[in-house]
Amino acid sequence: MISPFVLHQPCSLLGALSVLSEHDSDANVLAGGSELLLLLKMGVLKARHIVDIKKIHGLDRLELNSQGNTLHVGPLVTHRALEKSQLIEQHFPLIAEMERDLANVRIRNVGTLAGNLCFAEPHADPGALLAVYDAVVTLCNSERERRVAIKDFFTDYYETALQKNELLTDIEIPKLTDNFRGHYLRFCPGEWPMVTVALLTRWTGGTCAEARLGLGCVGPKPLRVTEFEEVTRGRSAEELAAKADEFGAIAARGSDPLGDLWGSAEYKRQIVKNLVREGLRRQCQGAKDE
Amino acid sequence: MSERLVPIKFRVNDRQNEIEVRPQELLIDFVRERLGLTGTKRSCDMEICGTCTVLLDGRAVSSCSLFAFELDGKDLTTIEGLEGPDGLHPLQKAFIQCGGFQCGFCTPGMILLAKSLLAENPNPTREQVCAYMDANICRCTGYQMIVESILHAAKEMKSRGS
Repeated sequence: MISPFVLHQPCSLLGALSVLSEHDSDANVLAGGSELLLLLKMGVLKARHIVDIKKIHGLDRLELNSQGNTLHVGPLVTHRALEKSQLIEQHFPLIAEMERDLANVRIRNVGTLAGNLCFAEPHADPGALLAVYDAVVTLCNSERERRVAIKDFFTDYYETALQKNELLTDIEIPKLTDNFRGHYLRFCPGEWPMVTVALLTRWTGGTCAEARLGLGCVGPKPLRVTEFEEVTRGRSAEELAAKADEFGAIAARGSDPLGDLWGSAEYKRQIVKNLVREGLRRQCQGAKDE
Repeated sequence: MSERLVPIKFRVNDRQNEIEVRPQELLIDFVRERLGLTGTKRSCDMEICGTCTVLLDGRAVSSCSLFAFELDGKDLTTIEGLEGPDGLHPLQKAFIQCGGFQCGFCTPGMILLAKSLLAENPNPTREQVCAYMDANICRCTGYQMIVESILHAAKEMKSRGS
């Protein structure tokens, strides 16, 4: 049973921010509610004030900027809207792929990408992928707004840089140039993923000019594996493919999983290694075929 | 804390309704206890199993994890709303004909989820049915008969042009 609360349904962003600043630690934002309601029902979270932002016009913005190089995702954009969007399918196919597999269609119909980020559930899909896209979020309170890189947004298990008086108002996702190859791989024996891997590589000729590796669900927050990114740069597709196992092991060492219901820490590291090896091999094959 | 009720207007199974709800009231409790539509079942209570599936504006959602006030301005369909003047809905008939249930507890959710699938994609492949329906859990049938029922209903609905 959920404890009683005062419901606020502001019609403007300013209205929402002023309620949040007035009630600060006693207020919670409701968008899709697919994470919030679970916590309220379990009693993990007690809200005295709930700010439903669904009546605010324009927060479902989903569009490219005028230069056509950055996607803007508003806080009311659902997973399902991303999954079905032609724009996403065409320009951000990895995001469309990630969204198709996320949770189940009932959750995707109500849950929002912004809400998913704000709850920072460690077993979530979007974090690792947004990390390799170098996404940036905008956090607003009634006095100012600030832009925070996704790598600084997540701070710990279920913790983010979002202050209680702030609302996440925008997710910016830069479009990749055409010479990137990408894979989003996940191992998900149940409802939530156990390991997620996002791998992007950019090639000049048969040489890897840049690699970005993001791992999710295997640490307090989604992470980028800098060592992997550095050692793979400048190497040929043949060499990377031949040593894919070794590079997979570097990725596994860069992860920091906890043993839990999904498996032991050692098992999860093995999964990281296997997924990274597979992703790298597929991308090297693609580079060689060009 | 003084409780302020929230007035909501909505349609349920094609009937207009106006009512006041407590802010913390869950949609599933509202549907089962206040509307008396007990075809909607509660099981996992965490958006996984799908027995509490209802359609809001035609989209499948988990009624266990939505507030009742979120019905405002929306069109709610529960399993009780599927039967028309000509009798059972083709999906309901197909589930009976193909043996798409045993204990029946997951069936309302399965049928509503299937209805949202067929509204979106009237002619799904077996793979598409499986991918979409993996949202809901059945502990009796092993799913094959559910998939058969949905494919059968799609064919029936297509031939009747409904």
